[in-house]
Amino acid sequence: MNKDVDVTESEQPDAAAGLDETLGETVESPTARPEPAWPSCPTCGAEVAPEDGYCEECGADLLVRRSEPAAPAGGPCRSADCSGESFTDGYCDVCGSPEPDPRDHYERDLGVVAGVTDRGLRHSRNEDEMSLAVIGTAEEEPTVIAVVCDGVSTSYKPETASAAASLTAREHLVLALRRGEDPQSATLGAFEQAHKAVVALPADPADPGNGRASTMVSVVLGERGITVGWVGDARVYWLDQNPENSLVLTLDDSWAGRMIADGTLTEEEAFKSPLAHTILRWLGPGAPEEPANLRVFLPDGPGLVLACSDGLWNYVPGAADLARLAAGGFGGLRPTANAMAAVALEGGGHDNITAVLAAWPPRRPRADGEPTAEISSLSEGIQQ
Amino acid sequence: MSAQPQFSVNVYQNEYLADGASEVNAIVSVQSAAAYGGAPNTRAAQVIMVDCSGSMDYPPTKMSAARQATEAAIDAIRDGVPFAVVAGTHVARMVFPGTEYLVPADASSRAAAKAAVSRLTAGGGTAMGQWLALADRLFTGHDQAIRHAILLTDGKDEHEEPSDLAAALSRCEGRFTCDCRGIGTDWVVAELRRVSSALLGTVDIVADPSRLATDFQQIIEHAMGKAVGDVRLRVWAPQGAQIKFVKQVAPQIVDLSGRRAPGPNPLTGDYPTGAWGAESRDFQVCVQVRPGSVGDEMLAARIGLVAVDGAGQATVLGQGLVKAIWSDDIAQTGRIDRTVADYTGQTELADAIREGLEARKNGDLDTATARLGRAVKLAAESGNEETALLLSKVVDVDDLASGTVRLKSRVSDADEMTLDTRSTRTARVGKNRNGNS
Repeated sequence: MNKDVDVTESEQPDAAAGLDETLGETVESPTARPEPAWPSCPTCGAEVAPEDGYCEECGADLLVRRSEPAAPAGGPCRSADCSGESFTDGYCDVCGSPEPDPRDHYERDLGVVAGVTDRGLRHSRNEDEMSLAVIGTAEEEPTVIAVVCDGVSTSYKPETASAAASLTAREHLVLALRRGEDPQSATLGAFEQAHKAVVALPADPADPGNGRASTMVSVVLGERGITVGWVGDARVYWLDQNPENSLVLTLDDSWAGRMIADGTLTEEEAFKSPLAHTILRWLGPGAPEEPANLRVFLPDGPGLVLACSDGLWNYVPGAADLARLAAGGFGGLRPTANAMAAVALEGGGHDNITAVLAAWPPRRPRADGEPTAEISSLSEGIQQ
Repeated sequence: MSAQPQFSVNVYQNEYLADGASEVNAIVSVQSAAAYGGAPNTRAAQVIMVDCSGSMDYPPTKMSAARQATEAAIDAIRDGVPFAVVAGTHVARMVFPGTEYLVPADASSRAAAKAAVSRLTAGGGTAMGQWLALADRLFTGHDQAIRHAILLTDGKDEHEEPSDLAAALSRCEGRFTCDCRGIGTDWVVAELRRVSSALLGTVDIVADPSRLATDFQQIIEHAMGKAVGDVRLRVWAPQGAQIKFVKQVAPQIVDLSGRRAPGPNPLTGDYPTGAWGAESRDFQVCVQVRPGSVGDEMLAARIGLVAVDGAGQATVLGQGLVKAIWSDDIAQTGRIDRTVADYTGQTELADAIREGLEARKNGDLDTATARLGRAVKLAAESGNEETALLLSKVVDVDDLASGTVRLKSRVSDADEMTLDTRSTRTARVGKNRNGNS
């Protein structure tokens, strides 16, 4: 697990921003520190030099910003008609409802990449997980990492499989890319390590044949383009500024995906089958031992990359429709990701929903971006 | 309390419910392994109640078998365990010692007790409430010990009102456990079962008096193996839920639903299970919760196993969770948990036998045929061979699969009573368990 302790990125000055911006202005108590101060370590507060890779005081990594996993939520019972406030074994002591789960809904925002994950309306827990990272200072173009996992709901404790896979893959990508490994081999390595992490989790004590399993997609946005890896049926989309040029970059490892890919069935026919969502590949015990699917994509112009679980794309499968929904991410990646998740919730929220958006090319979007009319009206609709 | 046995609790259920469903069924399987070195340090106390009514002399083999069996039981009592022998008639009388207290077992007290037992003769009536009341008085002051009694009878409780027996039972409930044995065929199964279930013991028929001594010896050895005295199922259910029943379903069926005592909070109740040695028992819990909709999850019950000592202090020995998750996936909601299904079938089997025999006694032969036929079918399906064998002495089977049977015209009382008493014995089911019980 990460050693750095920032709980939510949105409230925490990130290292790269700190390095850049606090040089010229000190936000708090300017009188006490009239001279421009060195930037400080986001973890321990010690002063650091702009060129430092690591904090000399606490060893924190100053060049990588990571999204934190969901933090314990606490609070009263989530059942509307219950006044319970204490929980035992993860359930309310009064009405037996599950304890509020921080993974029910959380959002992460690292500026150039942001995401939301939500339990949806029909599942008792959120078995999706996302892990994000940004490598690099503000002077150079950052490398963006996004991992989205969807625990296989029929497996044992799928929420643990997706959490282990996404964290392991993200950490492997961070380390490999910082070592200078190319994104493709880093991606393949990340899937191998994530698979091992899921296999290492104990199987169902009541049914040792029932191991844990998760699907996963990873995205690396760097100077060499967009490197996408996947196992299972979570997807990565390219959302072009011209929506009609958008496309899905992954090919589902599912029964429907296979039928469509080899031309046996049309997309419409394939998704009518009850087998449509049966996944053919996963991470965890019993998975086929093949390297992860890999694709590298270099866009012509600016746009967005969307990594999402099937809880989103089941409602809006078309790349062009998703691009129109995202509307270029104006108004911020995080509100846009939320707006997309809200469409799945309004559609019924049948599955857990995860939507992660990254901007291409990977540079910090202007802070004063205007929300478009389309996004505003969508948000208003959601609040009702 | 000395080293306690290790308890393990496993819950078997299909936690997935269809949209709007509200009934949750689970089997809670409890196993206890004896603590290292067994349980010889555990304090125990023992009372043996022997029917000495006049009918015990008809035939006289019954009285002599009772004497022999009581002597065998006395030999099986562990050194140092306080014990007494009571002669039961229309009153209760001390056989050993002569006054109302318990004497620790040693060579001389055993010899004296056996000498007193050998002089026992038959004469008088039957008032079991009196016997139990004396046993209860004898156990006074032995609150820290695991208190166990044996009650042997050959007849009906006919020299007191049923309400007298009921009153005695309600006073004795929770004070000691009692295994009951009926000798001959003149006693009433339902009556003795009322005593054994109230006092969390077993009931059985000893049709052949010569086997009584072995049986008594086993009962005592079993009782001496108990390591924890007062063990309770502590059941929490959410607000608005209703516990429909709590039953022990193995090794024999005992409905505990009516035995609920208030627990540490209003949502929790305790159900007594008596004393435990190294053994395993299964319980079925059925909870009606408020119906949920797809995507909801709820803890439907928390089943704890607690040991309560003489001072009322509870120690948690183990715990299992019963869950409800509402789903619209038929693959999830349609799955049948084999353990729950098998025990539900065996409970129905016991009910069918009881109702069938009851109907037969009342001359309602159509109902008797139908219920016992159903029982034959269920016994075959659940692989309960012992019960199937007992049933075959009461009915002739025409077709096993459909449960078509004919009542035998001549059935011995012993066979009928054996079937009746043993109908609540179940065959162990579920995974990781072998077929014998």
